[in-house]
Amino acid sequence: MATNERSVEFAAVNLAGRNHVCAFFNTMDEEHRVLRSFHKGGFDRGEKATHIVDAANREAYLKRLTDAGVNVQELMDAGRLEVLPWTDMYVRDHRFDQDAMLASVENLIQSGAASGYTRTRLVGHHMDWLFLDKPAVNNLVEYEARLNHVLSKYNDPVICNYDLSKISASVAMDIMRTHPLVIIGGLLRENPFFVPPDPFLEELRDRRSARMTAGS
Amino acid sequence: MIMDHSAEAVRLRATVRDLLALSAVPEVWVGREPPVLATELADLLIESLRLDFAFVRLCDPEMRQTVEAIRGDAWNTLPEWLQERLAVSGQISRQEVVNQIRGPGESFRGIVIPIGVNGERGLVAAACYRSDFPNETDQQLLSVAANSGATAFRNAHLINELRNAQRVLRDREQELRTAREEPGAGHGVQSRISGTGRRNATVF
Repeated sequence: MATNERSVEFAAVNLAGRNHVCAFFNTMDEEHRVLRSFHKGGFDRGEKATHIVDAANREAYLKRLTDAGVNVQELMDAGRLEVLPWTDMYVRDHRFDQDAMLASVENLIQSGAASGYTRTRLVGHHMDWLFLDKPAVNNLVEYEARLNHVLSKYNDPVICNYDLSKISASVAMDIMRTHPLVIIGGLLRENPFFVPPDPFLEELRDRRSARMTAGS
Repeated sequence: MIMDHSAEAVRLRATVRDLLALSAVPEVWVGREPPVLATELADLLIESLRLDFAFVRLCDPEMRQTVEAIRGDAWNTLPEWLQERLAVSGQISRQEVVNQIRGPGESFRGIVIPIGVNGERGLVAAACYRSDFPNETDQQLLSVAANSGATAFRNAHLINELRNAQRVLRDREQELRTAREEPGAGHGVQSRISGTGRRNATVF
C-alpha cells in the first residue's frame, strides 16, 4: 500500500513507480550539487529524510547539507532529518547483511509514516570495503535487486549513492541493472524496459552456478 | 513457430536494460588512465556479460599506445589464431565467429570483433562454453561494449595530451617569470620558450 499518492519529481522526471534510484558520483561536491534539489524539495514539502553515511564523514556531510541551504540543526531537532552511520544499518558480525538491511529500510519508511510524515526520502551510501570483495559485491547487487520488491509497496524514494572512484565498470553495470533510474555524469537516465527483480535474481543465480560448474 | 512471448519479452527487456547500462559505462570510465580501460573492459565482459574468456586490445588513433588485457583461459590458442589470420590477410577487418574450439575444459565458441576501420582501434575477442554463443544479443552487446571502450580510451588519451600540454605550458611560464626576475639569466630560457610556443601551436 502506498503511503502517499503525490508523486515525487526529480530533475524534471516523475519518479512514480520507479522510486529506486542509483546515483554515481566522482566527488562529494558533485553529489551534493546534483542531489541538492532532491533534498530541499522534500524538506519544502514537509517530508522526512533519512541519510545513511560513513560515520567518519558525518560532520563533513552535515556541513555540505548546511552549505546547500538546509537548516540541518532545526530539522534534526524536529526529527525530520536523520543522519545515521552505516555500520548500524548494513553490518552484522562484520559482514553486509542484506536481510537486516532490507528490514531496516522498510522499518524506516514505516516509522516515518507512523510519525505522520507524508513521505520519507532515503539516501544511502556504501562502505568502500564492499567493493574489494567479490562475494560482498554479489551480496550487495542481490540486495539492490531485492530492494525493488520492498519499495514497490511504497512511494518513498530511495537514492543509493556510489563513489565512482571505488568501483569497477562491471560492478557499476550490475548496479545499474538493478535500478529503474540511474544518475551518472550529472544526468538522469531512465530505463523504460526495466527488468523486474525476479528474472534478475535468477540471472544472478545462473551466473553463480555457471561459475561453480566451471570451477569444479 | 511457437514462441513463448513472455519469455521472449523478458529476454528483450533484459537486452535493452543491458544496452542502456552499457551505454552509461563510458561515464564510469571518465578520469581513468588509458591502460586501466582495457582491464576494466575485459572484466566487464567476463563478469557482467557472463563470458568465459575475454581479450581486449585498444589502440589510440595514431597507434602510439596499445594496451591489452586478457581474462579467462578458455581460448589460450587465441594468439596463434590471430597470427594465422594476420598472416593471411594482414588485418582483421570484419567480425568473425569461430566454432567449436577445443579448450582446456571442453569445446567452446568464440568471436573476434575488430574496433574501428580495419581494426585500427583494436579488437575484442570473447569466448563462451554456451552452445548458442554468440547469438544476436551477444554480438550486439559485445559490439557496443567494444565501441564504448574504444571511445573511452580515445577520450582518456585526449585528456592526457591536454594535461601534458598544460603542464608544459605552466613550466614554461614559470621559467619565463624566473627569467624576468633575474636579468641576464633569460637568454637560454627565452630560446626554449620560443620553441615551446611553436610546439604548443601544433597541440592546440
